[in-house]
Formats: sequence, C-alpha cells, structure tokens
Amino acid sequence: MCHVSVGHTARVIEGAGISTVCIYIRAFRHQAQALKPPRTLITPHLLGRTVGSPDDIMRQRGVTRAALRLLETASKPGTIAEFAPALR
Amino acid sequence: MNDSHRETFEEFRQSFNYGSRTDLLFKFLGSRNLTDQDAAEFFRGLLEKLGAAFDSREYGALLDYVFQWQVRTYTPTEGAPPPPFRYDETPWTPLRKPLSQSRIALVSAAGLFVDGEDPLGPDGPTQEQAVPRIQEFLRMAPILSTIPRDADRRCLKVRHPGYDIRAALLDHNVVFPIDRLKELQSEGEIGELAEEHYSFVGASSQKRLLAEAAPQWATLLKSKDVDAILLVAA
Repeated sequence: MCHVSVGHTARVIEGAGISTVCIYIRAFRHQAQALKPPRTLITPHLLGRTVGSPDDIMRQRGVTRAALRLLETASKPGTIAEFAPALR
Repeated sequence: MNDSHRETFEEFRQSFNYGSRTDLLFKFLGSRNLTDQDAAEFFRGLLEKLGAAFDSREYGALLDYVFQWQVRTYTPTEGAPPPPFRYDETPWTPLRKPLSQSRIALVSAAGLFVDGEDPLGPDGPTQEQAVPRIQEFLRMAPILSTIPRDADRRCLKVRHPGYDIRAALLDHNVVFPIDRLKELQSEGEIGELAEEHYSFVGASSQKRLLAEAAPQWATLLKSKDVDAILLVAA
C-alpha cells in the first residue's frame, strides 16, 4: 500500500503546484502505471530497500541523483524511468 | 492449531504473511499469485543458491533470486482484476528553475520519526506490536512526522507494519536518503535542502489520505517554499 500512498501524495502535491518525483521498486511498477504519478523512477531493489542496500553509498547516491534528474528531464506527465544498473 | 492438525504446505507458506512465521521480506510467499508448486520451486531454488553462496562467498545471485520472485509474485497476472486506483490523467507542474537552484524536500512513506516524537503518542506500539495491527493502520489517516535536516541519525526511529524494516534500521538512507541528498547539495547538484523533511506510514486509508492528509501536507509544503519533493515508497 506504500506505493499507492506515495503515488496519491505525489498527485496531490503536484496538483497544488509543487514538482514531484517518486522512487518505486520494480515489484510495484504496475502501481506506477495505474496511479500515474507525474514522474517515477523504478529501482531493481527488494521491498524495504527502495534506494539501495544499507551503506551502499554509491548506489544510493546514483538512485537519488537519477530520481532528481527526472525533475528536469521528464517531458510528459506520467513518465516512468528505470534505474538500469542490475541489483548486484 | 491442535496437536492432531498436520500443517499443510499451503498453511506453511501463508504463515509468513502475517501469520505464525511473519517475515515481511518473504510475505509474498502467502500471495494468491503463487501456487504451492511455485512456492516449492522457490524454496528449492533458494536452497540451491544458498549452497552456492556458501562456496563462492558471493551472495549477489541469492539476492537477485529473491528479487525476481518478489517481482513475479507482486506483478498482477494476466486477467487479474485491475488495481483499485487507476487514473487516466496526471497533474503536472514543471520545475520552475534548474535543479542546481531548487529547494528540495524529502517525503518517505517508510514510517520514520524522531525519537520522543512518536506520531502515535508516547505509548505508541513497537514494530513487533504494530505488524499484527496492519488492518488498523489501513483504516487510519496517515500522520506526517517532521524530521529536521540535521537530525542525529541515532535519533531516527522506524515503525511500519507493511514492510521489512531491518535494512532501514541499519541505514535509514535505504528508504530516507537524506544523507545522499546532503552530498548532492554539497556537490552543487541541487540548490538547497529544506530545513524539514517528512515521513509517514504508507499503509494507511487511501480515502483519508486523499481527503484529509495529502491536501494538508501540500499546504504545509507550499508554506515552506520548496520547489520540488522527492517521494520514496517502501
């Protein structure tokens, strides 16, 4: 339900005039497709490790940076992008 | 369960999903998307990967294996009923200025709060007490917790009845990447980090989130003059 809540929250905040970007895990990609948040980055990570594994600073930073860049690069509402590097 | 009852395999696998063996990392084993044969194959493969990891001392393949099964199990099968919340349109607010000049705030649905500021009060449940109360949470309006930008990481608590919080307890950045945002700010990729960031428990009433909570949060964030919000699901 977390991914649904995040999608709904993003929609409301964006509707109020603030740009938003969400990070989802792959297992809930279908929720991003249904909820259509303005911009979503999908990560190939386990539930509860959305941004990356504990203390994997480089990967966490890569995910965070990729999500933020969507704020500048996504050109249409409902953009879904994949964080490409494999899990390992 | 009385002594004469022999646990079936179906009961065994479902016990990981809010049952006698609750493990929120493996709750997918109780999914209706899995047959008993599927679950048996999962365990067989898991043991195979585990054995290989003992010898190779590499656990990446094991991690990837569980990830693939999580994705397979949560992804709706063909012909499944559509998700309850579906939209055709999307609100859209373009970023007003470059990221390198923007003020950013973080909102995580992972259930973090500052020690001593439990959103459910001073006698709020522990994680162990919260998990069996998942249905109560799903009826509640979510409560937003404020987390100051410079809060001591040792003061951050995590409680959420819907996901495995073990990784978040080790490093909150897995679901609340505030330290990574600070680094990106110091490198000039983002203009400024807001002084306050936020978290709530995503396992909550969607009706109340939409009608009560989220509009209030939007008003709050507007008052903080943030240009963009990074939201993290858990």
